[in-house]
Amino acid sequence: MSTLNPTAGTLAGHGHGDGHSHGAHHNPGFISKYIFSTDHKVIGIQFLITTLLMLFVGGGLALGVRWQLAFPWRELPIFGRLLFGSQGAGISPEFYTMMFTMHATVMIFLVIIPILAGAFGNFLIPLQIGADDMAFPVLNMLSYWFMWPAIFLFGASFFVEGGAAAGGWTSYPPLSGIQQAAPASGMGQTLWLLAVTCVGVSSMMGSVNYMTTIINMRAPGLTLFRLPMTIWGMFITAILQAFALPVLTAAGFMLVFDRLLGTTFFVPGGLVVNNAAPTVGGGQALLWQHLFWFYSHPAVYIMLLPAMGMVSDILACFSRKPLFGYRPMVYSMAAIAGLGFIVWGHHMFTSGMNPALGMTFMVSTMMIALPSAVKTFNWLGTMWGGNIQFTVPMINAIAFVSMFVVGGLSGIWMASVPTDIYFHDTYYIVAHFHYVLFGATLFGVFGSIQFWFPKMFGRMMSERLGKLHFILTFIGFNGTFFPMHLLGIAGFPRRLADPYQYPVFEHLRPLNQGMTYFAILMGFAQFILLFNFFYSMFKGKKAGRNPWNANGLEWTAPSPPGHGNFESVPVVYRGPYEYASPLVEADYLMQTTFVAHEDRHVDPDQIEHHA
Amino acid sequence: MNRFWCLFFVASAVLAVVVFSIGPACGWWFPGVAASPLGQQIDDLFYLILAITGVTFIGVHAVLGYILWKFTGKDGKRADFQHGSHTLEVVWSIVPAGVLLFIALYQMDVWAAFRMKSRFDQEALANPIAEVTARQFEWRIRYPAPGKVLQDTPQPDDLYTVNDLHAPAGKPVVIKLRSEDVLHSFFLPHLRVKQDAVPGLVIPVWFEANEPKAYDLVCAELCGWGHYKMRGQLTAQPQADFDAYMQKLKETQFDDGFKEAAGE
Amino acid sequence: MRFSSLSIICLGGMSLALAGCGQPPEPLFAPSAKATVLVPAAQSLVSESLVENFGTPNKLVAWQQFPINYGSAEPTASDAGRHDEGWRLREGRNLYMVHCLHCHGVAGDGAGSTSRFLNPRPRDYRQGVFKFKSTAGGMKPSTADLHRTLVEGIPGTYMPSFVLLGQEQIGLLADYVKWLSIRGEFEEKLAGGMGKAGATSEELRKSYKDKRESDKSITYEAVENEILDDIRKELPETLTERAQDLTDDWLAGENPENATFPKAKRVLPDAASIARGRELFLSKDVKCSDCHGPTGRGDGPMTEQFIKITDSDRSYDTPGFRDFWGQPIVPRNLTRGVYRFGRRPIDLYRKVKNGIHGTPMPAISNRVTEEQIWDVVNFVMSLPFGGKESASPGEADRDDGEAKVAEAAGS
Repeated sequence: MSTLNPTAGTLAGHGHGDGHSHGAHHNPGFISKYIFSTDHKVIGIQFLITTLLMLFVGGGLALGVRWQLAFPWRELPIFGRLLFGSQGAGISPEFYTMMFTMHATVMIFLVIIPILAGAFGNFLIPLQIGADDMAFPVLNMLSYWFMWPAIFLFGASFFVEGGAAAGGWTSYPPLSGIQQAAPASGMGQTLWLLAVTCVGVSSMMGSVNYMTTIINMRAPGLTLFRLPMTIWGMFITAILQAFALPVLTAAGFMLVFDRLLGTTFFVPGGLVVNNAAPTVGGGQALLWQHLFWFYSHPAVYIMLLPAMGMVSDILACFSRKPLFGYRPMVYSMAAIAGLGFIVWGHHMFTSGMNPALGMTFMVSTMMIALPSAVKTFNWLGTMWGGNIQFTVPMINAIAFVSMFVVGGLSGIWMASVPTDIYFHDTYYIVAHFHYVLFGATLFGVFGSIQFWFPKMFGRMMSERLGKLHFILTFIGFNGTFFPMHLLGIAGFPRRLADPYQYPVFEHLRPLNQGMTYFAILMGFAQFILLFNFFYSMFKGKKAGRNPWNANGLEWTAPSPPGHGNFESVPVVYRGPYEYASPLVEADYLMQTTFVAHEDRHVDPDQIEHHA
Repeated sequence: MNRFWCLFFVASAVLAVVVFSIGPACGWWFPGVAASPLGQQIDDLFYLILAITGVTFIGVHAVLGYILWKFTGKDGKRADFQHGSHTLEVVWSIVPAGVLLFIALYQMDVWAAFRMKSRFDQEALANPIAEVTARQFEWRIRYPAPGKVLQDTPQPDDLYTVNDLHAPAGKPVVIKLRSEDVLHSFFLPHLRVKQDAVPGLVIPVWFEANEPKAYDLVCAELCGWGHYKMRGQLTAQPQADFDAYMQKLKETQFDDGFKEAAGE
Repeated sequence: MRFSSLSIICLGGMSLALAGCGQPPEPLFAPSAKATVLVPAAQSLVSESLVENFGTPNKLVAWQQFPINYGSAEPTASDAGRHDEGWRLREGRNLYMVHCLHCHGVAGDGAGSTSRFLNPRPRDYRQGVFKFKSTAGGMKPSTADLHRTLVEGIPGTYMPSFVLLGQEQIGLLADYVKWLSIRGEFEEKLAGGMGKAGATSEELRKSYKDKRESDKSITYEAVENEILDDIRKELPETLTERAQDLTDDWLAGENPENATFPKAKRVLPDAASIARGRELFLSKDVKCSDCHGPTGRGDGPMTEQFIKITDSDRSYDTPGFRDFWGQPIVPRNLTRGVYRFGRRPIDLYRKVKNGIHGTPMPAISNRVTEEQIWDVVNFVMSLPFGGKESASPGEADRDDGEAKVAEAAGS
């Protein structure tokens, strides 16, 4: 019903009536309420908890990688004797390649993408646009449950002959295309490709849903340019997903065909691997790189834009000041998304593609730095002249800005082809994308969790534990990843199980050991978050509707919102960032608050109707 | 207490600058000054971008620090009610755009010198010194016989070695890069040269070592479980030594073992 | 909450860390298959004498009897003949653990973690059988041969070249491999001997059954003790004998007189020699083509046969050759120009002359002359070039080469 309904203009027939009739003849049992739920809030929280647990899996794998880099071939604590007992209890080289591959895979496909789009997208979109649910609730439920086959396949791949995929998360053929090329290029790689397809289906269902919901189900008065930045981030991300994902899916199937059916899209003829019969056919190894990065570069923005949006909300709220340059913020986000489609070649500067293409991609890549810079300046502008409250969400958001600057600036070396010749596939790249994906996105996510937690569970998270978690994570993060810039400058390549076999890198061992200690600190700090999360869920301080005195529509709903979200249809009079407005005494002015004599661009009929 | 966060973030930025400044002193920096003319140009570009980004980084964090100090929340205080500034937006769009475009255009030349075949040293391009074939997990090297030109297919008088690529120093040389199985990458950190070896393609790569000495050859593209085992070496030698090396290689490779027996 | 919760977290983390950090059991060299079939008492006899004479991976024992340069170490007071561990042995072990362990395994049994994905499988040194060597037949390789394999790697396999480790480290590795091989072969022979004496569980059950038929009162333990007592009694002597045999074998391999060298210079690889070589290659006498195929592609008719399993009257389920270690093996495709033992004429000469130990490749017939061997070698070396010209320094066609230079420069 609500799926067919919504046009913002017709107030009387809008969602809330439906929501109530929904609740009246609907008394769901535990399973349909908490497990196979079609309620966007439950699905969002399911996504959140699943991805947080996956964060620990991915983090554990990362610690294994760090251990090997600091103490190659030395006995791995706890797990070493279990896994490699008969062979010296150190990590074996093929297991090392599995670890970094699956670390990236888990973090990208099971943590960052679903925690942004899945968890926060689901939870926030209907609440922030004043809808009672998503446009397609069943599709929404399916999008969550399609994560599980992926998790199962990724997990199972560790136990098949040869182990989990080990060709890097980029899975470049022929390494991933020829079954004999590595132990894990057998069954493990096939499972990996199928799992990524499942994640893709999940994302695509979400993407269709978000676009439809945001276009069709906004509350009366909520014009596009009154949307919070979070919604803009989710909207643009959904569009990116919808256009980029089919390419990866198609490429994934082509690779599966290469592996199982004997097609040769990506594998050239005449290759002899592990003494198998020479390959036949005339595939092109670079084709995969083009197709893969055509998805995966936009995917970088899929992993960033929603966090940018959420951080914008948090920064404005705790600066108690309107967002600086709302429209430039929206335009720059759109520009990032648009340019994101024509920069994929910068991953391939040393790949042997036509050098003239390299020049083209260099210019487009340089230009994509521009909207990012504009956004940074606007965030600073937002804080300038504010009345800054250092809450846990705010310090995480400030960390987002600070870390994003580091990650953005280090990207300029990569955009510039001559320096990228040197930095390609070194730790400089690793430093760069961890600063963007962890330093920016994940700090944004940590802030967002604590910001919207009261809305999710009706209780506040502990500020003290939140600050402790932030400080330890921030120190651990910078201690781990900042020295990676230096490693990169020293030419230290990625993905080497024992870099010290090269005399030129031997002197970097102490640096790596120091970084590993910081990584362990950072890893253990996440248990504080986990504890804070679950403890506060049951024992936290009770929160009212609007604990942060914020403006957004979600704060007009009860905490936690009931089925159907809003008691009455919210009518929107203004954008979400009217903090410190002179129109009212309080330093915030909610989107739904009616103020007489305000110059607002809303259809007068609607206001009269509402009043 | 609220000032704490200002100090916290400023301290982290200061620490970042400090780490970058002491990096070279601790040896955590480039593996020596670039050992090739092209590498020198790449280093210059690196330092140019470092200057630009360094100024930006310090500037942004100085502003951030000032904001966190000055605008810390106080009870009863009220933030400015301000939605943005058209002028500022224009300024901070155009200035970075100009800088970025400058960086992009300024370095086209170095890129062209590295990869555009028309900009290669034509004599070196016509006489590649060797074909380097990467395979799991080593570099197999095929030289033409002294005085001959490298052919695309193996010749009866070709000379073979493994992992240790010899080349004359002080002049541009070209190798032909191939792969026998999966992707590899030919990386000479001291010379700032990197080129993927792509199965199915033969890619000419040029480099010039300034000094006659041994440089590390690193594989920089994941090629399987033994990726770390692909340690190689570029031995740059004066031309005369290089010629002598090739002669010796020829004698060793076509050794029929007879002389030793005669010596008994 | 506050501090109580913090302490819970810390305690949880610490207990998690401690759970994994108990006292580690002393790592051991994995026992060989011949030892694991023995009855427990015999197994412990084998492992005790191995630990006594060779030590454990973390605490090596340098048995001075063997021709290995262990490096100096203080002799222990109790046993003047056996040193604690020499520094060269220890350093060799350390290098081995970084560079070799993952394929060849801690015990040199070719069963490292990566080994089962490799084709061909990494060498199991414990049999004391080596393919790539300068000596004839079943003789041990010289240290120089092991050295050469480490320097050159084995093209066409996953055995990489370690040339960049430098002479010093390669020497340490070669000696450690030799030591591992001696240790392994010692174990194989010792356990094998006990097995032959009836100390395997299977044999023991059989003899118990036999003896029961004549004497109903005999117990299983009595039969076991009888056999074990014999073994124990002879053990000191057996140990000395085995050690002496191994010493002699390796010294023989080291003897320069045992290295194979041609008695004639390489025949000029002209068309005539290649044609003669081809004839021999296809001939009934020499029979190269039975396995390597008439065109040298390694697809001769013999590769279609079912091969008998060693020490058994059954055949393998699939056709094709097996090597000494029971792994499938194919005759080399000679047209690819990949030579595992090396591409020097002397390397190919040795292979043709001596065959390859541990594989079905036999030594060439005694009736074939030195010149004829060179003809075969010349033919084999011409196969990558379509049989037209053989790999050679090519002084003869220098003019042609210069023409090519001119042509290429002009284009």
